Amino acid sequence: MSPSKRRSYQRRKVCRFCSDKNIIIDYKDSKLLRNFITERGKIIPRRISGNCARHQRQMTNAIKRARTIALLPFTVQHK
Amino acid sequence: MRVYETTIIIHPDLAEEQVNEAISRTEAEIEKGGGKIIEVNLWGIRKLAYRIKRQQRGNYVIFKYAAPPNLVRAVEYQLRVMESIIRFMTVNLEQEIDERDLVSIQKVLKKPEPVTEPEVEESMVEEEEFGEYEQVPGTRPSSEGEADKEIEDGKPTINNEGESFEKKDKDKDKDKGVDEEEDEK
Repeated sequence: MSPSKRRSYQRRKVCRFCSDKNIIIDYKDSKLLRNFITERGKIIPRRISGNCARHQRQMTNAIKRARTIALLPFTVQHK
Repeated sequence: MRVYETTIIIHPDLAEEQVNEAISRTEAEIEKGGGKIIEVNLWGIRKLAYRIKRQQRGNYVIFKYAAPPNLVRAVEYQLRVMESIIRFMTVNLEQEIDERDLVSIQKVLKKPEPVTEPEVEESMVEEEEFGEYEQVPGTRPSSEGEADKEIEDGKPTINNEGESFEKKDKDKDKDKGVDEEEDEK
């Protein structure tokens, strides 16, 4: 086991919505949702964001809703 | 009765009276079908994430109301007909309100809050994005060790371009189980 690997174990994360129950995932909260999309507008997968299944699902739905009302982009705009 | 939330985006170039007309027509439509408006939230003009009907900006109004299920259809039909509305969306908030409680509900009008986030520019600021990344994993240990590695490996590449992030993504998918090897390098 390399040292780098052990370090990575220490940096395991927990779903931030589980650790802080006060954050509500809301499709209108584009500021929050923006943390969970890439700069190309793609939804960040769970293995990177660290969300649990439940909250990732809520997040996904919220992002998709936010997209339909143009709070979030579907993709970056081509010039 | 169920609680719904309907967001409408009104054309940004309209005069105030036309905006008010659009709002009151929507309200009237909700109330006509036996709905009860709980909250009207005027967000004001915001930048859109993408163009709708050639408009870069839109005037957001959000209605929260209790209504029988079949009312939504009538309201949406009305919204579709109105030309001043460039986009609308109704969401079921999954709350039930007893009809007897409805009487006590007063309509709340919320004015545009100072727009804290006018940055809907074409790209989300990179530092901000990845600053978040680092925060997220830092919070507490969990059972997902794999994900951390991703970030560790990913960091140097990410800084180059948005493009490389995606490549990284694909690579990851290819060698799912071989993460350890990558770590050794």
